[in-house]
Amino acid sequence: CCFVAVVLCCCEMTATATFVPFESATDPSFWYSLAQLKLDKLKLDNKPQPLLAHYQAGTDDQPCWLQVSGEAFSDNLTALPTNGALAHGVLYNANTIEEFKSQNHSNMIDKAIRQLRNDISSSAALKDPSLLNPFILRTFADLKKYKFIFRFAYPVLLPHPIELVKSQPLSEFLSATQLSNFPSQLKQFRASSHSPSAFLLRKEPQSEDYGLSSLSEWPDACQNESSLPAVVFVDPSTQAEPGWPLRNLVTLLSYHTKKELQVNVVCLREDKRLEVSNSIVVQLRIPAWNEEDLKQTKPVRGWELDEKGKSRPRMCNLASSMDPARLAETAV
Amino acid sequence: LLMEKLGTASKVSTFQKTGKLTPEEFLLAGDYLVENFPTWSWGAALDGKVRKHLPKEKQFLQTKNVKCKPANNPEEGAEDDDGFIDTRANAPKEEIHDLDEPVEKPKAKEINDLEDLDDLEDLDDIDFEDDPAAKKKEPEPEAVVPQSRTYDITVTYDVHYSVPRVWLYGFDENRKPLEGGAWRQDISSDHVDKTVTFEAHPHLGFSCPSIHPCKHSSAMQKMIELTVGSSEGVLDVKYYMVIFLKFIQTIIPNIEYDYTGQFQIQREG
Repeated sequence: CCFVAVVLCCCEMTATATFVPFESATDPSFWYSLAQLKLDKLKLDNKPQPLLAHYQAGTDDQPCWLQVSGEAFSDNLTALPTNGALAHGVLYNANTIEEFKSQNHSNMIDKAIRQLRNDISSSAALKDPSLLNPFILRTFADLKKYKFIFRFAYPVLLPHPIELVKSQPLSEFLSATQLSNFPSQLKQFRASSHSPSAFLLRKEPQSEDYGLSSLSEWPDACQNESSLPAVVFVDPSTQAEPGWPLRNLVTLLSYHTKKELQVNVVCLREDKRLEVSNSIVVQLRIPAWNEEDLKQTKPVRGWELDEKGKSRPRMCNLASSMDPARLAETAV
Repeated sequence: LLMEKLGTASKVSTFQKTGKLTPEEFLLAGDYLVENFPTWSWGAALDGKVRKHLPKEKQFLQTKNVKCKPANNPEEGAEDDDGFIDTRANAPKEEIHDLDEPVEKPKAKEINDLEDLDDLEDLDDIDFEDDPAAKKKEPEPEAVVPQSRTYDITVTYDVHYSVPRVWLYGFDENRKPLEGGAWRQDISSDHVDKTVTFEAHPHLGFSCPSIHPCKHSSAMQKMIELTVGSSEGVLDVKYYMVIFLKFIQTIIPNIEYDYTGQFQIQREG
């Protein structure tokens, strides 16, 4: 009833959770890899290509970065940082600027959202939460001028506005002992688990201790309300609001709970020493969600805005670091 | 067989006497750096750019998004170049301004491309701005300290000089790669085009400024001597990279990467 009121009267009265969008951060080595891929393999083939990116637990005042490196086209990122998490993308590289302009955006989003729906309903995303971070990259590579025109999208499915009940530092949520144990538990869990972008913080029975476990335990764990685990996710945001990856995660949790849910989410942020004291805990009230909702909900397409906040592609000019002619001039 | 694997690199440890490292020692010192300074990680080379003296997944060390203090005197750097920047036809002159004052960028020839992009503005895509759950970027507050440039730093193993070698790739405040000679503003004029030159990166496919390694071994030999304190002292090679980064910081003081913190060298012997 209270929640219904929130939905009806919209976001003015109560706090509606907001999320900090990803910002793309492409390495020059990524553009080099793309150029090589096009010259050696793709040539004029414009079929979609899978690619990998990563983000890291938020540090200092760094933007909410989705980082794309020269390894993007390999099967896995050997250089994934300890506090990193994977994102799975699809590249649509156009052969000409005209083709870039006429690319069918809706198809790209539809395809990504269809995959996301499948990964949520099939439970694949419970086993591998990195599937919750799809992205799309449209590009046109002008290999004569070493200029790259590109646009990222980070599509999400989100049922309804989510109510933010409260937000507190991790140090208030955990006791001093629990907090001091957390980094070593985290280190151990990361070492044993593949790409843990989201996982559970469960209270051990008859004890004050917490343990970390896989997100795949959620459907069982969420049935027992008295010992509902907290959900931890690698949060690239450093602002008061959680970062983009939480949105599809909320959808996943809601879908597998099958009833209204009030849950604590640990937004895992780390400083340069991998200390977790900057982390926050947000308590969210999430409406019940079913198969039908999953099918019906209109997705947020999430096309990235450019540096000036405009809805348009961006450009990266690498002539001065990749063009052999320019390099010859610069050589000393 | 071992020698073959190492290519031409020496495997005899002499670092304390000569300041030079073997590839194995580079690995040990790199592992120690990564273990103790989480902003540093190992990097993998691009296809076809793997050097066989190091494991495939540990070809070089890297740290990203290192803030760079605006150079105090960019003009001086430009002059010291014998007009090198300005005489090049395609050097973006608008880059050469006082970094302390945010200036409106004059329109350059690049603008045509941006206008093209404007045409691509997607009127259909209103979802993002209309999405109440997406945090909007706050408009840039006026008259604040300008956001700084950042650098991605990589440290490779230089087989010829048997020492680590530092490469710097600079970005503007929007993480756009710096163009032309803009990096020169961040390097002291004593070093531009002398110690710091623009060269092809061995593993990553682009060219960027690099600190030439010809004097590294003698400088490191002195640094190690100072650290150990006496001629009988023995230093564990794992500390090499931390000392090396401390030495490199003296060449590029504006680019403040992480090499210290709570850290103490255990002396042996």
